[in-house]
Amino acid sequence: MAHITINQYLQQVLEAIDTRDGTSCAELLSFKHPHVANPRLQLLSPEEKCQQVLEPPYDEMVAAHLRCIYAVSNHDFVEAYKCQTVVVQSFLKAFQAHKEENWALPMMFAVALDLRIFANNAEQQLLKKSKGKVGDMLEKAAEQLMSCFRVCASDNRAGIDDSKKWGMLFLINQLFKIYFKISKLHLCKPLIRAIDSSNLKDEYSMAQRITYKYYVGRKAMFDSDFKLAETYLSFAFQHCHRSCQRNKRLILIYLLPVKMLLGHMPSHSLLQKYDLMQFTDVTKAVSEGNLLLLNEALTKHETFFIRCGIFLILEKLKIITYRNLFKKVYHLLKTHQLPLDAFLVALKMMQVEEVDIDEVQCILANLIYMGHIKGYISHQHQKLVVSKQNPFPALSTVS
Amino acid sequence: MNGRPSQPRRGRGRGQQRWRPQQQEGEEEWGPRTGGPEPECWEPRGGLRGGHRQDRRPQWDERPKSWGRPQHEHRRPQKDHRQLAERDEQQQQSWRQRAEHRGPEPKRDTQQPEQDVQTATVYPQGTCVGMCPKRELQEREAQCRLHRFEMLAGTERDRRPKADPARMVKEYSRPAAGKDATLPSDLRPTAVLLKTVCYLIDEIAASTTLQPWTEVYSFVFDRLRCVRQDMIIQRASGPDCVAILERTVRFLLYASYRLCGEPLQLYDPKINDTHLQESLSWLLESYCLEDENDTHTTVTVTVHASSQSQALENTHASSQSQAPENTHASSQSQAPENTHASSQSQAPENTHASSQSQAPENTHASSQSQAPENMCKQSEGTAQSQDGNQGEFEALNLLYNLGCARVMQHALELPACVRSSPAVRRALAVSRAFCERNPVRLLRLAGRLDFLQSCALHRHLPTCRRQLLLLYSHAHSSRVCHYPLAHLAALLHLGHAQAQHLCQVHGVAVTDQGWVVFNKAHFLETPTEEVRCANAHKTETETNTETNTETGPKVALIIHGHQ
Repeated sequence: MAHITINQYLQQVLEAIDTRDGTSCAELLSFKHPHVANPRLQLLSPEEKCQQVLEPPYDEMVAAHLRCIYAVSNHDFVEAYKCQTVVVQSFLKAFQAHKEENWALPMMFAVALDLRIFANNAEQQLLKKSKGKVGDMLEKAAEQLMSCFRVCASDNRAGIDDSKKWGMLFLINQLFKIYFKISKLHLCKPLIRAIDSSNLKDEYSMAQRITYKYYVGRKAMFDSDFKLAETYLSFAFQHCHRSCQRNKRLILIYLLPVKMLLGHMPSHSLLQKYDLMQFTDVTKAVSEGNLLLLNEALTKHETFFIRCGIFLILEKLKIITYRNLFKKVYHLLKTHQLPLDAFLVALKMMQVEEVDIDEVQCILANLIYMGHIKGYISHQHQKLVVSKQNPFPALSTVS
Repeated sequence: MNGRPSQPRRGRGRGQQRWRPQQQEGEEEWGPRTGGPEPECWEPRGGLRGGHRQDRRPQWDERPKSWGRPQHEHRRPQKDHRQLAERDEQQQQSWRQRAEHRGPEPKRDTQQPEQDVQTATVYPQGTCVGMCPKRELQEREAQCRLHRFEMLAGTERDRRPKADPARMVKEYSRPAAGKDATLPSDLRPTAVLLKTVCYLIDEIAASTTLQPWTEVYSFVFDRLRCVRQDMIIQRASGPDCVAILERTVRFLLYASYRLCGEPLQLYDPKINDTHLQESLSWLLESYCLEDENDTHTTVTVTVHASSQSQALENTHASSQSQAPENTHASSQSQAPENTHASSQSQAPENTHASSQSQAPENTHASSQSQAPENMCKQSEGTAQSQDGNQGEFEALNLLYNLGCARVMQHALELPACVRSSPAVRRALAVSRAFCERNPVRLLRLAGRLDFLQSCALHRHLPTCRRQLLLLYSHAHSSRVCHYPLAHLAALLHLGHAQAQHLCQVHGVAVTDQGWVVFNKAHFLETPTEEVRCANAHKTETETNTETNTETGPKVALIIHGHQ
């Protein structure tokens, strides 16, 4: 395979197309496959050869693919990206002409995946030369993927087995990757709606569904819908294959904060297993009600948390930390009428900046409003009066 | 081509002809396990049993590392792209050489120039030296479409008022089919645009004679919009562009505060907001681009700084002594008091300025009141504090879009020097108070913001006050609740009467003795009647040592950024 001639290669492509062998076609067009390393296929102008063997629009597609191989061998990713767009465009021409058949889907997966990767690389290359704007290339790639998506989504004629709709989730996942990278999360919404209303949504391959849930979970998290985020991310984590440690770790980075916000603290062994020790101090601080430690931990691993985009979510843990701290005050004083001064002392001990009795009241008011504390504040007596039964309900029971 | 079957075989039975996800046969292995995660240790039990198949891997692990990869350089996992790009630079040389060895390559030659053309497309460059193109001036004069502020003094009451070339400013017009907006004679270069903006601020927005201010607003708003349109058509960038956008943002922010509560036909907060957001994000983007350029080439930094100082010098000069145009001279010389320096020396404003923000303000005022040559120094100072300006606007962005996750994430990703600037830190503290739902702290911090920052935060204050009442209604809810109104008013940063009114429209009872009786059952989310914003203004402005009648020169100072 590695050193076949151009003619042999083209014959293989022809054979694969003729027998409608989508998987082989996909391999022959994919940069995952070793044929791209073959120097005999690195051609600058393979158009003529391709035209001799293949019919349009396949000749155009394969020619562009070969030019792309050439560009990649020269590390010219801008050129490679351009060629790959031609590959995708001519593929779409062929794909649209396939009525009521979907054997070409693996081919689409291969070319779409490479398109996104080259867009990414091309952008890096341009930025290095301080040309182009961040996200420009990826946005263009997203447009291309959207045109693929439209073809797939509008295939209403074919029966379920031959439907191109089976390609939707893969494309959506690719688009998610781009949208998350260029932080245009609002563009995800119509895609999510498309899947929600699809009757195939639970029939796609598990791998695709996990990726989908991972991204939708992350989006729900940024929209502060933590319950929803938890269901999606938990699904992804539980179903992700055990050999994919890296993916499981990625899922955990978002699942951990969400779970913590909902009152479930991760075990030490879990953090150790997935090399997420950045969370240890945060976990400890939150469960101890140690605001000082929480602030320290957040500052210490600031860069990591910010890069992952979870810093703001972790800051929300402060509210739970207040609750745990105040619960300690309650346990120390062993009474149902707690002087507000006691809370003020506790907060000052945690070096909360410029805190006074009004702010204590406000923090308590918020906790009462959210249901973390059962009770009321008496301003005249400067006391917090808590319920005799279960004044601090378990976090998991509070929404 | 020959010998191929014209119709591909249609054999439904063949597996490879139809694509479906290959999961069905092993479904049960993937089925969800029973039982939810436990609170304290929710690590899922066990892994998955059964066969592991490559094709079931999640897609974002696209390139399994175990793949038998050819020894060749050219395919590698995506995460290596940086190294690759680095190496790429080094290899440029070698592949060029290789390419030469291979002989003539026609394609290459044709592609190279094409790429260059693509990156350096020629954008239209304006040649119009005045604030308004001659053609438009004649056209609008003939069609009687002059704004009151653009008419030649004395001809306003004529049947056909004459245009004052010194006061005419190009008006915004929608792009439409058949209209060529790219005529160089109709476009103003950035330097002229900046002069135009300064004219609009100093002579129109800050004018004490032009009334009412809603009309001033609509005029300046429209002309600033046109300035941005000119910039977009010419793809303008650079320090002048930044200076224009900075003033635009400040003007729109100030207007959003001053006109808050005006009737909808005079001031539409939604439209103002759209333009403000657009200008603000463009401005912040330009800062980022400049940062990138700075890191790429250290040489440009010096060029930058000098050109910046020049540009600012120009603007100050024009608004101070020189006329933006030759024709402008007359109006300027008539009223030399319009300059900053002289207005500063007027007694009442001076006290305002100094009391409003402490130390730096005073130095400004004094240097302003001295002599024109001081302008040079001052503009240099502004150029040096370019980063300071970025901090200022990042802070305004945070405050204006309070609690917006995207904006906060952006602020966190800023370079450390900007992030640690006092303005950004203060704005982040306010955002934090908002996210923690701590309105007491938020309103307290709000009192310490400078004037423009208060303008930015202004639209969120009603929400915060409502939130405070909501929280307290829940937390203080008891039969014997007695909360002093005076104390609540202080927390809300409102006067007694306003606090009482706010309580009443939200269903919170206030007794005649000045006690607030919180009750969570009686709290109303939506107020029974609209809370008049104008009332709230008074107390806010009191705390900011700002009176409702901002005098003209003060406005100019705010918009130019010398608060």
